[in-house]
Amino acid sequence: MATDSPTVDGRIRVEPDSGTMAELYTRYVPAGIRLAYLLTGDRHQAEDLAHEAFVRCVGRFQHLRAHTAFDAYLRRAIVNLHMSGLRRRRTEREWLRREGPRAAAAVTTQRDVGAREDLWEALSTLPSRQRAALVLRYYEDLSERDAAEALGCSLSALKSLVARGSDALRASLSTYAPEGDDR
Amino acid sequence: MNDLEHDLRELFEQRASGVDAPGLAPNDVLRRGRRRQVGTVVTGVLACLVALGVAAAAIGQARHPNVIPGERNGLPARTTSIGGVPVTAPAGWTLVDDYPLAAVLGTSQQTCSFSATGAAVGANGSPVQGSPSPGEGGAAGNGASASGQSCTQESTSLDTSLPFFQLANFSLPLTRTPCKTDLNGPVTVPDDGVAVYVGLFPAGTSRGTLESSCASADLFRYGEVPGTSGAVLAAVAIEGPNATQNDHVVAEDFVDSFEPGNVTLPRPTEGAGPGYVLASGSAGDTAWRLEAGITSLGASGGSPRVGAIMVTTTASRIEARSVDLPTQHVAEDAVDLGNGSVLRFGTAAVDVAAISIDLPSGGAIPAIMFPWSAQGIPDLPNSDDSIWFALAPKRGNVRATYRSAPTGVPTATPVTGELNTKIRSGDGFVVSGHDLGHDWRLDYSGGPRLELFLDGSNEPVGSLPYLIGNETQIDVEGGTFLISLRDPTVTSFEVTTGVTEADQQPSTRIDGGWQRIQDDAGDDGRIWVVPLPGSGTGLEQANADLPSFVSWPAAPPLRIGSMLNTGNDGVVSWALTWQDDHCIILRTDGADPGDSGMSPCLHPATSSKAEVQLVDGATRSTVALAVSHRPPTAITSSDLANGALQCVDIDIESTFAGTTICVFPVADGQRVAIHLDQTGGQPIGPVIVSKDGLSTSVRGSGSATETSSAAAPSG
Repeated sequence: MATDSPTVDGRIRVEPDSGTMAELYTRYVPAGIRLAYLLTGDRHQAEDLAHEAFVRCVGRFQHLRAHTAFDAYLRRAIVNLHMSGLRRRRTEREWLRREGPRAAAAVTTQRDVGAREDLWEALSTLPSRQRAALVLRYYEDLSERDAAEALGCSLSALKSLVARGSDALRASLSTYAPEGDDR
Repeated sequence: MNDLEHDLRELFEQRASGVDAPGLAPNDVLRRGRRRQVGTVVTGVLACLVALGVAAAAIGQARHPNVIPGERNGLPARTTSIGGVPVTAPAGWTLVDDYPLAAVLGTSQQTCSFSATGAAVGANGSPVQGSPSPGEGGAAGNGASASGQSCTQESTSLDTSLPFFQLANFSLPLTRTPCKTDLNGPVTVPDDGVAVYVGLFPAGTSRGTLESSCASADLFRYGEVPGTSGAVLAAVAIEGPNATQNDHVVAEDFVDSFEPGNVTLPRPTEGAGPGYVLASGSAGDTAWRLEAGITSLGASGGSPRVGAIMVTTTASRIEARSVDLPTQHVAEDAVDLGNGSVLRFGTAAVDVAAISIDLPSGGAIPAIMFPWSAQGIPDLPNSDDSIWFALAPKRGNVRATYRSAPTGVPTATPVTGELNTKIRSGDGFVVSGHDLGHDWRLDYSGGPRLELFLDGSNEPVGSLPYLIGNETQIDVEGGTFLISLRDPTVTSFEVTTGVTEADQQPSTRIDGGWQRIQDDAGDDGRIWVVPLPGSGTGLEQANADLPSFVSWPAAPPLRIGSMLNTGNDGVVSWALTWQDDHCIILRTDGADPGDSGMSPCLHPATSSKAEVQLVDGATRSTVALAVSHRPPTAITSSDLANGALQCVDIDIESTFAGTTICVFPVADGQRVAIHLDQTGGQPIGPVIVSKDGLSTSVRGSGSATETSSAAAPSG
């Protein structure tokens, strides 16, 4: 549990204490890594993403009005970092394609051969924002408003992302018959 | 929950549970976190960015000697006094004030070496008690001291010389001189160049020493400075072989008029470094000069910074104030000259075209701006910043005018087009314009949000997430800015005003200005900016898509026509508009004009009675249902698709407080039952709306009406 020092300008200040940070890590980062994994589909990338988000959140922690919101800030940071790193990762993917399967095997995770592999693969083809919207809604179980906040978009944009993502999954998988017009 | 949603939840759980996340924090992560936290606490992210930027500028300055502000830019003649030596720089000549170095070198060596009276001065400039003065005999003359605090004026440890200033008809770097100094090696004088160097040399310096220190020197005049125990102040002119006669005369006149024996050394200002003298003047008993230079040497920690320096001199004191190059917009300071006039000065970012001082009594004083010619400096974010000053009778308000193109204007002949945009190095950009009586700028600095600034302020008036799909209204004095981030398929975006009878102005189309962007997620699109004047209502439309209702200002208080909620069902756009305390009107605008219209007044609901009004269109009816949510009432329908029932809670202080208003479509031939399940209250039966051709019926539990609008009584 983080130790709060006296408030400064109404903000809770957390001293740069590694014990506090370790506790924050233990409490929040494993879940962050799992979220990042669902966003990226890559275990190593997920760990890097969650760690970077954690470092940034800890660095800015004195600006948080309540550290109980750390998980929300961490989640937001993970999503933001994932989004802002897209261009770079796009470039990396291009490199991987050029380098061929040997290089690719070094960074991709072991494939889960369990059920719904086809759905997992279809998810990986979605635009990242659509995928993130689905993960936030159906894994993090956030309300539409909270998911929109985490994604940094409007409520209507979030709804649109979820709807378009779902439609794309239905379209790519024959097991899911398209729903009627829900708008 | 449908199959897909169910499967996604299971899939996510299954995949996430397979991730073996470390339970303990790796040491390297903790170290990074600790570094980040300490760094943030001490300096703040913004301060770091500023320091990095200006440090790069200062370092770049030193590395790129060709970076000379004011070079060949038609600077006027400047008359000032530097280090106690009067000097006039002819128009177009470079004048470098090096005297602040005396504070740095003097502090590290012999502070009182430069005391006018020979009395030792402390760090705060006050005379040190007990220190001898020249008039008191031996101490000043032989360097002996009566106490540990006394000065040893003659033992200056300058190896070569301390520069006071330089005057040249060519570019001179801030950190180099034509003579040997304790700084860097001498600069080469061009063939047609003429430079005058004025500096303090060690006691005993002879003409031969000066000749060896200042190669190719032609003119010398030097002598001991009173109170310095023999330190020699020299003016040396160095000329290239092809110097013109006119330039030679300038140097000769200066050297001839130079009287070291009459110089009284002032206490140098501390903190700042050398600077280029851009302008000078006097008012009352205060002389002033504006410099572009190093605002902080970083001697006491931190990094060097650059910007504008204003040096003011009176009979009793010399003072320097500085303003760093801005990270954005305008930075400024003021000096009250004491005779009813105020000297305003500062720096301005690249996109500032002009600055003026708006006076309280009306009128404006235009500022004089000097370009900081910084091309070639690596890593400098703003390479075309300016330094400016204005002499005003009152303090007034600093007003900046940005380089801009007009965006939409509230006229019948709209102006459209690409907005003026400046790309910053790195991720950032600035879109700017002048609308609604404001110089505005949308600033993206690489963070998650796009911020709107007005009139040179550093405080944003509003912002929105920098992601395609976001839209916001930002109220300002004079109107509202509608800012929308749209996908690249949107090539026109406009607002047609005057959709309610409350609008005073005739209907007008206001086209948005735009700029292509790539948002925070890497998606392409456009920023659209629509300035909406005053207050009003309108329909915003992208391309030829279904328009959406909009009203402004966005902030309370409510006005007639204020929109409490808006939406669309893909075929019809609708808005709930405030009429008065007892009346809300539903307005529609349909792809089919027959679906457009407005309903009669929708009145407040009670805990036992729902209210219904509708617009009976050609292809569908759009229905507004008011239900009390005190106690809470669940409003559901199995006849409507997900999202088709759009509700808003009204909690504004009025008779509508505690009312939920839902809007939904009923297509021709459709029957929609709305179920109202009140928690702990009197049961309210379902409201059933049916549309059949030109007739729409509304039935509440226990009653039935065949009308285009009706109240739904409770059961």
